[in-house]
Amino acid sequence: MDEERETLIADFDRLHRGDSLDRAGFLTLLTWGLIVPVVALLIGWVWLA
Amino acid sequence: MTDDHTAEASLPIHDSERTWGPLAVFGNTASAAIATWCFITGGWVAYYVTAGRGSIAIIAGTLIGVFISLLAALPPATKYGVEAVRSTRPTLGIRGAWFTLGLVLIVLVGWNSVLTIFLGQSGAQTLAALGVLSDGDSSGAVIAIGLLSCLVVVAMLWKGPHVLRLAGPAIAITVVVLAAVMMIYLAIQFGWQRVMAAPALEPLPDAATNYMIVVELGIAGGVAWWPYIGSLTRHSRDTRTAIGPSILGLGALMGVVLTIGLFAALVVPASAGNPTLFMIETGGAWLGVVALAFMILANVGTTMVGVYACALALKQVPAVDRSLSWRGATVISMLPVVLVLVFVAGPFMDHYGTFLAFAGVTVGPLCGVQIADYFLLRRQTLDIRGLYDEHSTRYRYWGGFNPAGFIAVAAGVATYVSVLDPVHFVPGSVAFSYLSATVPASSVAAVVYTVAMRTIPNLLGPSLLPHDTSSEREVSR
Repeated sequence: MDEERETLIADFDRLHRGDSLDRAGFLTLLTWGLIVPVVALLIGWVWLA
Repeated sequence: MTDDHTAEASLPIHDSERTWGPLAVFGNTASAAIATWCFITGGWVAYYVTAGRGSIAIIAGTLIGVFISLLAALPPATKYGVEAVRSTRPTLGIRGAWFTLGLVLIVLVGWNSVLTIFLGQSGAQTLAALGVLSDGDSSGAVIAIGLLSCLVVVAMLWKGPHVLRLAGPAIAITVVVLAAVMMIYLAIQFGWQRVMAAPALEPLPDAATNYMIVVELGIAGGVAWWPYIGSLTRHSRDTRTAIGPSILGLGALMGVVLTIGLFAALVVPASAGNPTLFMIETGGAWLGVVALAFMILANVGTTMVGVYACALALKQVPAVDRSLSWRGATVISMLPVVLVLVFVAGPFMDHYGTFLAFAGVTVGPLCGVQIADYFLLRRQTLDIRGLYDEHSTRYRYWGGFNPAGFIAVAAGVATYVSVLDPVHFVPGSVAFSYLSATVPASSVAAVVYTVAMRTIPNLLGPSLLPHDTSSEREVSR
């Protein structure tokens, strides 16, 4: 198991090309997770006052 | 080497083993998020605000909370295949991550217990209303239904976590349809005008504080997904594939189901946000079946994801990983839930609010620390051996603990408690009405962590630098 584990980690270290969070992904997250909710909160506060 | 071999253990997931597309990520995040706890929280919202403001505040708050937890947990999970416990090795140290293990186990076992007890209680009441049981408050019936749901969850996960890829979307789609039926029923039975005109049940004198308390309830609920996110997204094919479905499943859909609880509590305050009983009383048996199906599928789906995340967290301990099979880890993850259900269900549910506060206070600062570490200090590059190799010195810091991480989390917790009393939800500062409590707590933790990492000796240097990229150059050649 230890050898198998070592091989897995070594392979991952050598071959894996996992992607980072890129600009488009970050903008999607920022838009729907922060900007839209904050704008909605402001509209909700003013409009429904 | 099967897909489940690494999915069940403390090993990185290779590209070929990442089989979850957008539907699987959405299905499992939605399946996890939608449960009857949405009714409990929605019922609390009704105390402070009306339907219009409450809907906007709770959905927006949930999305903001999910933004914080996704930004902290999703990128390292999809890039390196790490779940919550292992992801904190760079921030808390190779031994400091034991703190995360304790926190994650408490939070996951707590949530699973809440869901199981709630399903037992609501199921017994629903069966009594349908005439199947004579006493809906019988503790025996509550325990029996709860135990049955535990058995179903263990049986579903028995053959491995790959079951989630298929079961998650099926459960999520069914639950969303059933939730839509409940929402339509509320609109038909009471009318939108009555729902929108219903006053808040017990609002505080200051409208801004009422509004922000609801936003904070949403943020705390969204941030509380942090222990689940790594487990839910590490199978995703890539990072971008996981973002949209996660926001939709954990944030938007959960927010919408929370509004069902809000509307129900506003028009029928005695329901405390749970519409199932008065649906049966006014709508008859067919609506009872809808309500019962919703409760069973929603709670079993969420508990299944929770037990998977809990078993995975347990297997981050090398000795546990070596000695315990996947099935053993699943059973052990469920065991505390069974004990709580059988022996202390009543007292546990009496302190549900305290448990929720504990989760909210501690997880927010952890997210802030992780965001600062991953994006500002390490520029999205972690050392794979430091994460997975027990003998690596990369994240060993001071005897296995990173003092910067613990100082920052403590600063974040102190900030939260000074801004808002988390148990009684009483603001301690005017800042709360503008900033909430989780946002400043996470921000302070992030700033303190960044400063501490740069000022405390022996933390910067080789341990902080991105790992040797020669392997990536080799691939590109």
